[in-house]
Amino acid sequence: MSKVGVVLCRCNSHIDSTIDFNTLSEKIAKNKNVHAVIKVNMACSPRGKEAIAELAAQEEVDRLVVAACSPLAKGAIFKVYAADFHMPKQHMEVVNLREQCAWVHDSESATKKAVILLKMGVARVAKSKDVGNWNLNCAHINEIKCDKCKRCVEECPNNAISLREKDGYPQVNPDLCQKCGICVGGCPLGVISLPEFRLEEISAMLKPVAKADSPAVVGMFCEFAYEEADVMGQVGEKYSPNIYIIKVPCTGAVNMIMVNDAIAEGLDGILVAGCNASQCQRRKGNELATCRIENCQQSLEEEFLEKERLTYISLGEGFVAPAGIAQERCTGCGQCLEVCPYGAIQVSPDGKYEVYSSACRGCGNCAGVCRPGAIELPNWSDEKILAALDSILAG
Amino acid sequence: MQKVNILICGHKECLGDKMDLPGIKKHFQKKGHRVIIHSNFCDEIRDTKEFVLPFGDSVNPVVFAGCSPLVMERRIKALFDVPVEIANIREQCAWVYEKSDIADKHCIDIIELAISNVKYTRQFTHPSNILSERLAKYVSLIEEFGPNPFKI
Repeated sequence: MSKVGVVLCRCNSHIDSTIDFNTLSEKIAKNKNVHAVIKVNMACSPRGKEAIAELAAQEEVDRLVVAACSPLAKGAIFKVYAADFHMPKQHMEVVNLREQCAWVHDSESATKKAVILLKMGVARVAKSKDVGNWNLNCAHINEIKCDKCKRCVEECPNNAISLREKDGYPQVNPDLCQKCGICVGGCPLGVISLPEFRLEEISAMLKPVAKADSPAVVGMFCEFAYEEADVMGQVGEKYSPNIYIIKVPCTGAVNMIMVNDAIAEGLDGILVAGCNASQCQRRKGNELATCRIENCQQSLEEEFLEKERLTYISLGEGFVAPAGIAQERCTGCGQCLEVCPYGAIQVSPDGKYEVYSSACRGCGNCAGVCRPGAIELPNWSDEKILAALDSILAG
Repeated sequence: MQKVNILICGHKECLGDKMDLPGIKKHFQKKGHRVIIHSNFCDEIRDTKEFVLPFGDSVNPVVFAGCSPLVMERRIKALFDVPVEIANIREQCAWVYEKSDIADKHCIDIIELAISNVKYTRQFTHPSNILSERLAKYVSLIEEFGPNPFKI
């Protein structure tokens, strides 16, 4: 059995001022996979790292769950910790107790939710595999179970999967694979995994949610939707504590096997949150997701369940200040339209190029190719960058 | 040169005592900026309802010198009615330099950079809470349906 070490980060009281850490540590210590629980202040600090290293070494834990801020904030640092402790990165799980729990719910709801979130993290990490030999860092197809249906070949938006000539099995080109997970979501047998996204892990995470107070809703949020949920926490906006959010690489990575598992476990609802229409950075992940969801909804109805229990919503809009086009400088070359990965540039009936503000994610690709410098990012003008360089050189 | 208000979070547990914050404060005061060293700004912002603007009614932009923008950039920016820039003197200074003099110099450079940037920074606009609306709608729908029969 795996030996999981749990680290509860106080985050300079941002987390433990809302969530009752005593209740949390008592409840999680009872989990059969949990070997040790420690409380630290600022797990991301050098001192925090020392405390976690001590836990890893003295308690001989082989997996770690760090309950702290969003994985989008300090997740990368905790993955580096795993490498420093000679632990596969899959054996380190970050549970978001700050942006999506302590900052958005009242104390009682946040503590209840934190227990479930932590159990989900432990369940995931206990199921994680050391995939050291997948160092190629791309999608992995289990050939033993693959029936060569070719769906992954057809659906991969990057043409990264092709059939091997000698035996007809699909093979992934690591140079082209973007780890979007669209093949993972589409595989009818569920035999494709990403190094850090395996169906077994996600299915294991659903069990604790099924035991939560009704209505227990699991959210499968793409990276942009997940960021939006984080932003709501940062700006102090509240939302329902009934939702337990799981970050997925893209909504296209949501396999309906996971959804069926969730329904069979007794979850009351599954909310898949991704981008709107043209906005999917993975090109067609959201389109495929909505199509798969429609099919799955039919199956739910055949089982006499309400189809809305599985719903797709589009998020990721309007929380980033959009780019703007200075019409007097625009030459109408259309380069911006070509490079925008989100389809946020539109041509108006009178031939003017305009930014569709809800779709813009402020990536700056358009500003980078605009030769006359007509495109401005609200907080990243050329003047600002040049002034910053001057300031550095003057120092 | 435009004057800015500089708010340094001097929380000992975060920064340690490597940096000479009063000296850094004097450095920027000499240039005409207003500087406040806060003992633990996290304490201040934990409850946004009770937050009091540290620089009163001043309309000058603010440079917050403390933790990385990854930690809570939007949370800090949302507190002020003026443009705010973050100077990361914790992760990129206090936590990486052993020697005090190097840390002090780098801290000043980082704050100078933020002062340069804040002139071009726009005021933070509060995003609309679409997530909350959609979730509330969805959760109430699921409540109407009742529990999943498989659970029962």
